[in-house]
Amino acid sequence: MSLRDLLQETWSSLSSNKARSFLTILGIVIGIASVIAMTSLIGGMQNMLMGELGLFQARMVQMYAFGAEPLDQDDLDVLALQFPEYEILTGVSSGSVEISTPSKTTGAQVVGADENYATVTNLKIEAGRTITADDQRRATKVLVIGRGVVLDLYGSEDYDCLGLTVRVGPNRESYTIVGIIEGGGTTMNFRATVMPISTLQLRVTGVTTFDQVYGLAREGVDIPALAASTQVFLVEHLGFKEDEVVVYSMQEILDQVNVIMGAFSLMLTAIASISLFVGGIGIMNMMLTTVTERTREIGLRKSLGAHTTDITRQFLAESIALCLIGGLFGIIFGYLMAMVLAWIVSLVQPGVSFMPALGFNAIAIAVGVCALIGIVFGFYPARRAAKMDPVESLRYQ
Amino acid sequence: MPNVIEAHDLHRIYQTKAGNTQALRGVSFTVEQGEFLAIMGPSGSGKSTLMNILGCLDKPTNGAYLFEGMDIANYTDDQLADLRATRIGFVFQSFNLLPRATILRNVILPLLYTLCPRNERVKRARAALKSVGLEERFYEHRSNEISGGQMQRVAIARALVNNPALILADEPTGNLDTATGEMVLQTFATLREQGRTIVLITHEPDIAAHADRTLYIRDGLMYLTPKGSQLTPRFNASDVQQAPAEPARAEVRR
Repeated sequence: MSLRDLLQETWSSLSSNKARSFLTILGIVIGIASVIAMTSLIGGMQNMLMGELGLFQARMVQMYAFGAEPLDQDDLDVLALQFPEYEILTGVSSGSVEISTPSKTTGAQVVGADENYATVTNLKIEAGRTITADDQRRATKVLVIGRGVVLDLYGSEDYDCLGLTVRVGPNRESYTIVGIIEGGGTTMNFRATVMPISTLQLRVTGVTTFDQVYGLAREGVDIPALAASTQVFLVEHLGFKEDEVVVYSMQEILDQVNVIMGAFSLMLTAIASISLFVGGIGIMNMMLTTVTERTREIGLRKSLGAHTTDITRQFLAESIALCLIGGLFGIIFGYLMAMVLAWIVSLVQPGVSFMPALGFNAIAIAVGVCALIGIVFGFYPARRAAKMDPVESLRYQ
Repeated sequence: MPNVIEAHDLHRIYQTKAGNTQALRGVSFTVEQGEFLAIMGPSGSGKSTLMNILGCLDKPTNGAYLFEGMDIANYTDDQLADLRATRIGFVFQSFNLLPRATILRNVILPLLYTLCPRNERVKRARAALKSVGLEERFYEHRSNEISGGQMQRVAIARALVNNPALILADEPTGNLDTATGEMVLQTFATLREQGRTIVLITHEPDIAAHADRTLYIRDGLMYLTPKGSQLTPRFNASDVQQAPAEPARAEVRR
């Protein structure tokens, strides 16, 4: 019997019993759907993290010193000399200020940063400009703000406030809004406020040290190694206490995230495989029923000259086809489920929005697993059909 | 050309929990090419057992069955299947058509198990259906949408489609009324005219009367007449292994 004949026979026997075939594959559909939903959710989250972090983030190294003596510009100058692997080293510090318009006042966590900050942290400017080297040098009184701050100050996210002045700090000095940061209510930058770090140090906090330092490594540099040797250098040569300074790379964080996500999907796969196992048993049950019901047909086919292998293949093909159809539905439903879940997450947790991502690998594995289930759980019923005695089965009522 | 069937002292013993049952106790006869033979017997006479052996669905416990001159004793299951696929056509009392498949598909079914090329299948199936006189407008109907007489003619077409050496019909009119049964028997008569070899198994004398020759089976033995006068084997004793005196104790082959 040729493959084409086999498929034709399989189709005609499955389609003649659509309702039962559908109920039988439900277990497989649910199992595959849950795996697909979870893997595409996890994939989507990873993509979101990567996207939000931007292209440079994989090359970013962050440093914190939280002891008595924080990092300052002198430390950065030494580091820049010692480690030419850094393309950029930029310190930021922050402070709380009140910002007010004639009608409204809002509290804001303001970040003091230089001209490199936007590049390193992937901050995108929607309108106007970011902090420039000139702002930094002259300690100009300018602000770059997110849409959320615009909303707080003017009552509307879309208010055109470029060039307007606001009052900042206890002295109510006037600052000019020179840039609007891109990003809606779902992003981290929605409520960001940035001013030149020189301005912040001079006029707001009076502190000349950094809360945090961002380093951007040159391309091709071993970033975790660079972070490690920076840490050692800070402790051994710049007098920081070992437990008061932390240097880490985004790469390490991403690796950690991947490990956690991996463990998570492993657990989900284990749960899903139980449901697939139960689904497989359902398939076997249905195939055994089918074999019994079609005893006469099997006897007829044998009397017409079917070999044992023809009968085995015919029933095996039916069970594989059932599982593959179940898998296909599972992939589709799983992806739809992931879209719904992602939508719910974005409602519950503003600031998180992503599209589920379904890789080709996941699809290929799902299809492979389904075919395997079909073979494993279809084999016994198929053998049972093939071993039937033609005389006995023709007599079967 | 060898005889289509040569049965030499066939014994068939069934082993059951209650003990051994002897369904055939030494049946010998010959069917020549082109012959239309009826085998008559009441139920329990062993005619179904004989039919299964003649159709190569079963093997005799003892004795030799030569089909077209070949002793099938040592054939494997697959070899027997190939023999059934290419040389034997079955017609059953209950038609045994696949209810959801079309008429044409039912007739094509045996060709799936042969090397018949795809493009020739429909041609051969149509030819077979034409030779049993089924109108072309039915070909795409499902087999559960036609009458019993038509169903049996489809089954005969299915038996014919591989151009077999033997057509084996087991009570082909058993599920049909007299008029429809007569039509089916006419179909067999036509096949006989075309030179087909047919063995028809029945328990009704009216039906057996359509055949060239009738043999009678009773209690596992073959007779020339309805009552008595046992059929003597028409072969040389040296051709066949000696039948054991006590079949019940003989080596049982399954």
